[in-house]
Amino acid sequence: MSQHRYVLRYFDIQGLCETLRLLLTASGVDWTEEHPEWPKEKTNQPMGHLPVLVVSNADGKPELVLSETLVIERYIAREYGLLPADNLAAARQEQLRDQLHDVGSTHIEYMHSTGERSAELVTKFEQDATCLVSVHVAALRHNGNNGHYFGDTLSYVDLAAYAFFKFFSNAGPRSLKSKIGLLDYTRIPEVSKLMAAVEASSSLEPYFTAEKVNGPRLATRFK
Amino acid sequence: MASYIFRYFNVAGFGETTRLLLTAAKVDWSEENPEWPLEKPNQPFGRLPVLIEHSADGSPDLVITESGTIERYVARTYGFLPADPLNAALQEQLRDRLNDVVLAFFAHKSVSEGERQSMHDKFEELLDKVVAVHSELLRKNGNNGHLFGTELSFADINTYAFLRMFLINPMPSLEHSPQLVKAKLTPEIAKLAVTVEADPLLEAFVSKKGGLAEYVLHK
Repeated sequence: MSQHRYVLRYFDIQGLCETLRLLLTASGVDWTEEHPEWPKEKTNQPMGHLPVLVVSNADGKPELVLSETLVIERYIAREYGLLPADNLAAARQEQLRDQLHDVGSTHIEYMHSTGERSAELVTKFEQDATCLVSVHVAALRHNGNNGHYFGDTLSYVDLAAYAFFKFFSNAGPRSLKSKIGLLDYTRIPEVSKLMAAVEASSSLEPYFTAEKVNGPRLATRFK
Repeated sequence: MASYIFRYFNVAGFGETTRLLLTAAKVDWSEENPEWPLEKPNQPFGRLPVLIEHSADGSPDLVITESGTIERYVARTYGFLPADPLNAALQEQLRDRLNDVVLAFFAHKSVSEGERQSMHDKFEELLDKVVAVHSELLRKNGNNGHLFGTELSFADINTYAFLRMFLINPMPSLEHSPQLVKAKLTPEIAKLAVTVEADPLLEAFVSKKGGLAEYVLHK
């Protein structure tokens, strides 16, 4: 394991980053968060957007800046053992996480859409969310319905699913109200069990109990 | 040795990187283009692409889905992505940002008339950004036609697939964007395209599907 220190640079919102905040906490690494002035700092980011992860050595000297949310997630997950080194085992987690991301993205697109495209996205969301629930319930059952997707310890996809289902349990005013009930985890026993297991995880205690987690950001609304 | 079936639509789309990787890996592979949406319920996540891996020893087939996961699985298994998580991430982030450019183009088409110009400007701004990022990486790597190191990599293949999508037989829905992409190509990116295409590992693909050298070299 490397002796890196990390700064997550993002906005002071849940947005796309709760899975990453959970990963950084669960991994036990030294990390903080910063919220740059925006759009002033846009041109200073390697790919022109956020989030980025500044990777520094043990003395805090920046070595490089990683971009792209899912890439950053997988880097931390792999580096700190939350995603297996074995290619196939990792792919099994990654595809489930990618599916969560797809449905999340469809919902985001819906929130910004109008007219005919909106109607198309309602149908797409309904189909894809229904499929997602069926696939994820099957995966949790296949693993013995023990509150984890794989094995009996916390892993990457557990965290991604937690962030996903929490998001949809308190999605905001522009959300697809008629359909997000499909993702109500209180009605899905296997997912409820997962949510409880994540919340009970000792490596996530700082995330759930601290008022401020590693920097200026108040702990998330996921409480 | 394992063999593969790649199940997708008969388009470049989000499948070309995987086709190129399977070719470069020199594995035995074939493609299925299922009837759609008839075959939708038969896919593990109700979507394409899907990759099926037949093992040589008769153990059950492995089925993997989600285009990014499929690409990374093939790339890692056959050595086109480094095992080291940080160096792999440096390649993977380029792929995701290129995807954003493609999605931004299609997004601008699905908005109302009034928003279309500003969405198109966003697409073009993003395109300029990825061209600049790629060109700088290529220069830093000695302008040898590779984004990292001296051999064909995941990042090289993905960038090449992106260029193919816009420059060779582009879908009608891409409209004027092929000319736009071509006009923005830097010498470094043109060199990557030519270098990747000339790699012996991709010979089977290029000879069957044609190359883009003529598109990048003649402006």
